[in-house]
Amino acid sequence: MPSRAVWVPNDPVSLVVLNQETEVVGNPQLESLWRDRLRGVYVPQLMWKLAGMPAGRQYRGIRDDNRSALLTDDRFVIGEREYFAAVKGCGSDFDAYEHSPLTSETLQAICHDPEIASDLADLNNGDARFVTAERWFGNTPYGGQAPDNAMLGLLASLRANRNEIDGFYICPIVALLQLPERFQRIASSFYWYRKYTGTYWQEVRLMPSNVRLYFQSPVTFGADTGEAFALFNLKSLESCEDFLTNLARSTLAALTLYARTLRYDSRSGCYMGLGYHDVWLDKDAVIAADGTLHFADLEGIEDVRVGRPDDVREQILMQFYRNVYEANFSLEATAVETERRLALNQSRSERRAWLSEIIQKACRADPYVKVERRGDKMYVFVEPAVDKSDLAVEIELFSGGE
Amino acid sequence: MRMLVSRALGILEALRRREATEFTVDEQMELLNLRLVNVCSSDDYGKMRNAVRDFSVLSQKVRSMARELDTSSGPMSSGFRRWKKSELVKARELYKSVLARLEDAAGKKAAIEALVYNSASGFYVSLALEGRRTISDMNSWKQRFGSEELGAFINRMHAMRNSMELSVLGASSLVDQFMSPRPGMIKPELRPSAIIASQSGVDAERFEEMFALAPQTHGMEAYPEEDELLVSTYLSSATGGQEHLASRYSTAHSNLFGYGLGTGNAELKALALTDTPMEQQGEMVDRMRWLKEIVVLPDENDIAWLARSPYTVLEVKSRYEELVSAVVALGHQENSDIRTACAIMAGSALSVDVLTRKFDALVGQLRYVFDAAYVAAAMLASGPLDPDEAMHVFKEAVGVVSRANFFDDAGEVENLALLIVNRYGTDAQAIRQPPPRFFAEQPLPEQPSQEDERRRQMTPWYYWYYWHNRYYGRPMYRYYRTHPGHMHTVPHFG
Repeated sequence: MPSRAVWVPNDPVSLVVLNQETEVVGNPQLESLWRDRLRGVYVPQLMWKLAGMPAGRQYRGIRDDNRSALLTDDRFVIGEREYFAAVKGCGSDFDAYEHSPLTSETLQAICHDPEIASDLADLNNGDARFVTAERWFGNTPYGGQAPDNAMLGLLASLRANRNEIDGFYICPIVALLQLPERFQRIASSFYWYRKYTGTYWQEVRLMPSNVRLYFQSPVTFGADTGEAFALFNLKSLESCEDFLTNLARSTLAALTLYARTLRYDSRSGCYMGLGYHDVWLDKDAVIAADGTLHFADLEGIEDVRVGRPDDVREQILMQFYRNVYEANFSLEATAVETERRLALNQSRSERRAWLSEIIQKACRADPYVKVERRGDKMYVFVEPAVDKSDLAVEIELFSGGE
Repeated sequence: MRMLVSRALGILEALRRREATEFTVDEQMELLNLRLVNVCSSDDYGKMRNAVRDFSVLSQKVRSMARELDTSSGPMSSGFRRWKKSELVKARELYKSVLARLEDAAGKKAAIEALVYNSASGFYVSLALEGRRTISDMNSWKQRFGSEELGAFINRMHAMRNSMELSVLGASSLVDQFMSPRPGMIKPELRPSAIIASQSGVDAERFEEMFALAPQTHGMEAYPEEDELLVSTYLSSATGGQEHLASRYSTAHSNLFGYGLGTGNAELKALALTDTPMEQQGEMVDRMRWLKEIVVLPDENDIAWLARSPYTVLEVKSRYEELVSAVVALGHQENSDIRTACAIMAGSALSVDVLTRKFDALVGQLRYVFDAAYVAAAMLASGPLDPDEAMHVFKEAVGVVSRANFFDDAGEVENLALLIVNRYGTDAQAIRQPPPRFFAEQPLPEQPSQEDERRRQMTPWYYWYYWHNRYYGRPMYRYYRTHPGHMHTVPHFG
């Protein structure tokens, strides 16, 4: 029986799914999902009205972060896990510069097209979710998605075996779709200071949950561990240990993504492996109900190219150390909550020994990571996908007590 | 001769450390029957060792196969196999079967590593999961129950856990029954009331009856619906029908206003007097008036708490002031929380010295668990349990509430657990057990003397209420007059 998809209730999002054809770039591995169920452009109600209410159907999603909606009525099973669909770039509910919801009045004030502003004034609409042209997060339209970022995410998804890149789990992108021309014209009229001039896209992706590690969701694993456990229905020691094992396995994979995706490009004479660029485990990853960490924001995952073996080893170490605190935090939070729920009364040293056993068990079959315990120390022996005899790296995961 | 707790603790601790230890066949049998250990014969041990002999080879094979199956794209390096789709499917199936063998062997290997040879029986023994939990129980309670038989001790622990589970189950059922006709009712507000009602044996019907009475209670008209829950909880745990309770409440309310005690939350004070016989309400009011004159407190509600203590007014005033001085001398800054905590402890049957040391030990453990750690520490310190015991019961209660998912926000869990733990932490029976560490200086005789019996009778058995981020307590114990000036009916404290 697959592990079910879970989500924390949040504000409802009223969207309209347009029937009209638009430019779509899809993931062939997940084509059937797109073709059969998800096909369509997801636009906010107010934009739809401003665009003259073209043919489409109403859809009620759930707000996720500031520009996404969860489409929890559409769920799919991949392997042993259920996922729901989510759309990124379907408008924002919040003002880009103030801690307040977007309102019709705000939108009128930032509208640079008198005709559209006039139409907006005639619409007495409470829901002001909107895709704007304010440049945000580099060169991304606030509330929408830029094509380059969307494409990077799709490229990472194409590299996966559906939801997994060599043990590293992702929230795969099903398809990218460009907003229809009329909607792009409307969006480009709304900005506060700096106007975005590119095209407007959306990502449709699959997620196993909306529980992020520490930031940017209504319940986060680090801050609200008890609520997350309730959501994941973890009640027995067996279920908690299974969860912890999956979490350990998937976080260790995330820490060694570069090594496990390493390739040697004989044409350029360089090594390439996937690295994180302005994305982090604490805010850009979600945790599935079975504990498997899934990286959600794939637009920040790109190849890192280096020439010399020393630089490869340096990259492996850098990626590991950059993210290991977040990984340890999640393991510790899970262990503490397990002890709390089951009143295990373990001492800190017992917890550390327990976590050591779990991590070792989790990585037993991992082809890129070996975990060794030497006394009370624990080491991770990373063996990259290519040239492992030359490029292997030993990293201390738990220090000793001396 | 059955095994004692202290002996079992020694054996199980050795097994946990995987150290060689000797114990008799009978002892081994008893531990096995109680599911605290796993036992393995020498033959089975040998078979298991054979089964894991090729563990490292198998492990290496799984890793190699997984590498070979690596299908992520990117620039192709030498050494990566290009799979045909049908071959890939077959290879993945084979990999799964080898992986399953590895998992099986790993389980056996872990089991072997945990086994310790018992030369007295000729068997290999390891600690079972239940054994780990029992070690934790025994370490918390060994001072009190170290000389008890192991089976009786385990039953005692099971009874405590079952009772907690049932309380939460009952509360959960009450919430569901109460919520279903009122979908707009705020659930978090209902949960503390449901826990209290469940522990008092109040069923949904009684709770409904008293909830219907709440808005008719004098002075409560302007209160929001969730506050009426507390009213109904107070009323439902008192005996009597609607008319009887309404009459008692009205008398209490009139008395409070008549004697100038209607300030603060008079309605709540009056509600807490509804289980007091009519003829004793006057004495209670007198004590409150007197205390209001002679004790300086930042919160008038604390006066009501002192008034219901089993001491004379002058005694409790003296205890309260001694406690404030002692707690401040520990290094805590005097503030309204400290004064409330001292008011709670002043009503306890324990000496000021014992209370101060228990409070100090508990504050350290409860800091960061509660916003008002002083108040929670005072609640637990006032009971007869040693701090380690109180914390053990508290952790169990946290676990029970969490496992039942009886919360919306994780911040509710500890407050609900504190309501549950006080049911156990103040159990009058516990004080008659051999004294643990913190009671060493005031041991109680095994055969209760008249004085001991009086103390036991006076030991409050409180029900605690949680309302607007404040705790309110009321003893469920019967009134026991020790002096004409002593009152025992208790309204609330904060």
